[in-house]
Amino acid sequence: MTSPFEFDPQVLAQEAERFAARLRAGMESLARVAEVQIGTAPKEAVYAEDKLVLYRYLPEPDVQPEARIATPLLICYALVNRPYMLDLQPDRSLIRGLLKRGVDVYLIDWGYPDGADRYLGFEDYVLRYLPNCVAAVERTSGSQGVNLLGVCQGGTLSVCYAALHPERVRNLLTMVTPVDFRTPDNLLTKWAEHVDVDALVATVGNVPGTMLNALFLSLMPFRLTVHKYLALLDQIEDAAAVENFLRMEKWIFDSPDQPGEMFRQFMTWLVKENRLMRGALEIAGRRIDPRRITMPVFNMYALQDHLVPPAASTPLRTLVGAVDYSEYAFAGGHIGIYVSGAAQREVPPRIAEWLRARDPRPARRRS
Amino acid sequence: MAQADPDRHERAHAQEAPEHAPRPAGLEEAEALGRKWLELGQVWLQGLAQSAAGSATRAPAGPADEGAADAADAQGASTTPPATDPFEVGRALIEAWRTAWAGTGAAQATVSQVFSDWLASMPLLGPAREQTRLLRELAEAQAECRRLEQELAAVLLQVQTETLERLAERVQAAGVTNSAEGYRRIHDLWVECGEQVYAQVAHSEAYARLQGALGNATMRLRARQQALLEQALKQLDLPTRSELNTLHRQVRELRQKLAALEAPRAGVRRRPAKQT
Repeated sequence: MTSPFEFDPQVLAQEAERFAARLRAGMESLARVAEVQIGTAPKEAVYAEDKLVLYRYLPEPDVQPEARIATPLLICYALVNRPYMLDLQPDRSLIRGLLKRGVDVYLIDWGYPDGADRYLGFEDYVLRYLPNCVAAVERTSGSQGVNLLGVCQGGTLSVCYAALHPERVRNLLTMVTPVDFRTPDNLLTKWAEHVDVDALVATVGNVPGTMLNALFLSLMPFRLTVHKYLALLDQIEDAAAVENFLRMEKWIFDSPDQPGEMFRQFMTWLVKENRLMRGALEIAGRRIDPRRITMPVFNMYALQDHLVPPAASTPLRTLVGAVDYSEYAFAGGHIGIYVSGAAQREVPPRIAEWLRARDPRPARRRS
Repeated sequence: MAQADPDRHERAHAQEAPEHAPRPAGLEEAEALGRKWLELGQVWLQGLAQSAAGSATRAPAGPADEGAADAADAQGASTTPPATDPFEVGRALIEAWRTAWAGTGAAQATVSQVFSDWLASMPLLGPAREQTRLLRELAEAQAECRRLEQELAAVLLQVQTETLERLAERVQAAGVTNSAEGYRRIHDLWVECGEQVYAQVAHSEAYARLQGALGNATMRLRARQQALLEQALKQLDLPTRSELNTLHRQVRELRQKLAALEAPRAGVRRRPAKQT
């Protein structure tokens, strides 16, 4: 078909000139920006094992002791990407939002696995690291049991742990957590179907973060490889916006390698065979029965999530044995649920209120 | 010691004579590949020139217009009339790229295949038997990768073609004007159309199969490369990844045994959490 639109060489030349000028200005602006700071909320390491470090975030001094939630919250992040997404910058920080509302926050940072970690599997994460971290939180806080918040893949690990150790988890919270990997809108799992994961892991050992980045970019190649950089030029004069962009850029491409065996098991058992959903998941001979999750559950997902579609998260309600089950659908994407302006307003208060309502110590002051 | 061969000089002479010289296997294919790459560059440059000429002839009427038309004629544009629709130019460029790429890709695939076939014809005998086998497997994997890469490139080119078709419709429907804002709007629409077309393809079973097959072939190729590298490292008595893997596995097993021994003591220290 023909189009009524015709390129006018003069207009095109002018636009090209404007674009080039903007590009020059953009390069100068970018050169002026120093290395961005991320994950700046004050914290201290309270436990370390192999590559993992367990941090405790220092409580907000403005929060009165009686306004604090007694049971500590342990955040189990995914193995993919880095956990500072939860504290990307001071005004976009789920962690700071929780601290302000009296939550005692602990976070597992899995670190950067190397060749020595290639044989780490589900067993290590669910039966060793997670229990050790829970024990460390209990020791540090003096609490018996923890509130466990799992993020994305970390949520799946948390579900497994809570099913094995319900006595140690007072409340289970999951954020953009996949449990049903075979939903029709899940592009990643469709692609994984024909990949020989055994051969992949046997060949590359740990699965390189760069390989996963390429995969994620290929989910929306036009938008993620071209458009977003052009859009950056629109706000290149805005130093704060440029810094925000660079923080996100750093997070996206600061990708740890995935321990080979863990990747192989996760992809085979969960993604390809959907064992968790089918009640057929076993770790080191121990069956994961989500019906043992009888503690209160708060399942949060994002409506525009292209990595973990809502349909992959919501079946959790059918799996668990909890009577007290709540859901929250955030109007945004997989990352927006942590860093968007709306997320700052909505997510930390909801989590804190939900926890406070279930805290054994009656809260004297609502946040 | 070489045995005396009375016919040796005659054969050597025959090899020097161009009319009888047997061409080494793969040489023609390599030359064809080089030609294809040259053609690819030429086609691309011609496409750009055609686009520029088309734009020049659409400049406002007047003396300058005639001059531009003359210039376009002088460049040979008159023999291939410039496209009047910018989307037509885009289609022509994609088509040119598709043709050239298909040719180049096929030539590359052929070279890989010829090399693979040549190695396959080598007898697996003698001290170099294992080395030849590894090389043969490497060549096979390389040929397979080339073929699948070509298939994927064809699919992605088709995405570009359909994106352009959809973009033309959207531009018309949206009544985008010829202005700086219009160009930006076209870019945004192109991204939108591209993602829509790509999503349709990406969700198809055929695409998942093709991508999986290419990924698997790439891993086979890499595994063959690793095997060759390991062989070389062993000859130099240097540590290999296989040896490291063995050590890591042993350390892990030892740690598991240690943890099993320590578990009863840890269990005694544990108290159950109080439920609310």
